[in-house]
Amino acid sequence: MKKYILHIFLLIATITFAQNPKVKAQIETSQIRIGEQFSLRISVNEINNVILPKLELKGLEVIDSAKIDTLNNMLIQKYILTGFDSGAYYIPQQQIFIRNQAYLTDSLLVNVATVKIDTTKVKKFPIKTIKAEPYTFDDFKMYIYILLAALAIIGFWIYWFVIRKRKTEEDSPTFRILPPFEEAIYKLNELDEKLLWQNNKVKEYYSELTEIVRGYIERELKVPALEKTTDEIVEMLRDFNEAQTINTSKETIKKLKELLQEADLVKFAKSKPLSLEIEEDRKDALDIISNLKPKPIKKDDELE
Amino acid sequence: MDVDVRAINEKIERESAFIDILTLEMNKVIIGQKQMIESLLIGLLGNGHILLEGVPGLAKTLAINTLSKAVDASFSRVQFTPDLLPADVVGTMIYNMKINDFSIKKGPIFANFVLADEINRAPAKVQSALLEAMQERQITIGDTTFKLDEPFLVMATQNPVEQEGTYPLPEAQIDRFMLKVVIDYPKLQDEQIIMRQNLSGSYATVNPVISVEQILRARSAVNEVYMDEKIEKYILDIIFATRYPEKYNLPKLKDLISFGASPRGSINLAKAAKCYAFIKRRGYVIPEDVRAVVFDVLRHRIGITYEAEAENVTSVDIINAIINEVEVP
Repeated sequence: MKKYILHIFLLIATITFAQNPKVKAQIETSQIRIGEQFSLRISVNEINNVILPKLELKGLEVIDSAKIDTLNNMLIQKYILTGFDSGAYYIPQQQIFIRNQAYLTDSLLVNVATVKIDTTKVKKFPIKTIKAEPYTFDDFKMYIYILLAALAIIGFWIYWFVIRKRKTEEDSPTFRILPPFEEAIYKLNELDEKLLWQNNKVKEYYSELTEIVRGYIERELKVPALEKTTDEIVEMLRDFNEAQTINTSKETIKKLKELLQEADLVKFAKSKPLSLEIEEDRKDALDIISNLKPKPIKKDDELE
Repeated sequence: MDVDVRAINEKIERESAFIDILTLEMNKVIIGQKQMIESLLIGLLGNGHILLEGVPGLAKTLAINTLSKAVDASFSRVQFTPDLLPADVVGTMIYNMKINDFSIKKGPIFANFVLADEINRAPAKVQSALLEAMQERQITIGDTTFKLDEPFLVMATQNPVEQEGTYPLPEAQIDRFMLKVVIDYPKLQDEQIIMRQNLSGSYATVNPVISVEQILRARSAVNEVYMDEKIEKYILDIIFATRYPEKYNLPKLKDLISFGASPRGSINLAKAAKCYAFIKRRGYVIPEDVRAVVFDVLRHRIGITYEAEAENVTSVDIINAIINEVEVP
């Protein structure tokens, strides 16, 4: 008898200890409609040394999982689940380790039902147009670059053709824009102010004097006089005079020849004319400039 | 250095007095080839040689022969042919049976004035022999070296009409000629006089009017002709414009010139300008002197490209463009 009592005691004790610690899986409902959310609650009546598995489901989806909650020496893990396909799905047994010992929860059945839609009662709306995305910098990047490049080109153009040109004109001596005669007179006066021959720089004086005269001929008669020799210039003017394309006299051409030859002597043969001769040549230069003009072209009505 | 140009001018006027007499003497025989006579005088005074280009019958031989008679100097003529040998020009060693030894037989180059007629008909070895003699002014035959007599002037001719069977002178050898003169037909009036003289058979006789010593003295006077720094700069500008035309506002010439004038070009241009000033009886050089000789000095020293040839642009056109752009001092 004692032996039977002992066996019964051991059996009861084993059963009692086997249920402790306890794991449990519960769902809010076992019937949901497509897309309807429900909660799964897994509770363990132990706090320490518990390992919860990663929930793996088939046919159902985990929408969210809350943080593990500890309440009255219990661990509670909540999941929000849903199903998007109609049918019956199992939430399988979850293996939970407590102090390195595995415990299994119960498996649970969830039915996902479809929703009947009565299309005759649904209010109809027109199809919406494609909704535009909000604008970003990238949408305008290309236009901004093109605009910047265009501004740069316009800016460069303005600098090169307007500002720079104006600056060059401002920097250039004023006689550049003067008519040939005024320019020659201006340069002659400028030459006088330099007092070159008075400072024993006769060669420089004659170089500049002849350059003024030749430059005047070049601009006024539009011939390359600066690139011609004395003989060539004189010969050319004689031809022009014979052809009556210039307003001048033989005396002026003779004076020019003498001036250029005198200058050649000073420039290339170290000749040193007297002060009187230099002053005479200066006067001659002015006479030549004053008496050497192109013949004005007559207009048609004047010819008639 | 202070130069007394007035004294130089007086000396040149004195020393160059023979020029008028010499020109008059030559003009008795040579009609209407003023430029050729001037070029001969420049070559004679500048101690240079002349390459003459012109069709046959333009009195090339007659001109140098007349000059030799007027100067009272020796003259020889060599007709260059494809079978000519260097020994035919410079001379050779000939076995002399009497003395049982080799004796030297001097060639026609041993003369004061040498006419190398149609130089481009002879092969390169003969041209080289002549041009070396022109440069060195001495000849070596066997183991004996002979100094050539002064003055020594070679006038070589090239026939521009025929090109077949010719050996054109290389650029390096052409550069050794001080001047390349292109002569044209005489004017109608001049040719009438030539025709009359020939038909009547009344050839004027040329008398020696100047001695070799006078020529040598004139040469040293030419060296004294004053050339101002401005003229030197003008010459250098012209020469540099043949090398770097783009720097002288002539960018179009860049593709037309294969090579510009060498330093020998600037030396000869300066020397020829001095000679021209001497001929004009002046003791100083003016830009007109440079312009008078620039074509003869540079026309054979500027290489033109195929592009220029295709566009019918000659070295004369290039020189023209340059002198019309480079500012006269």
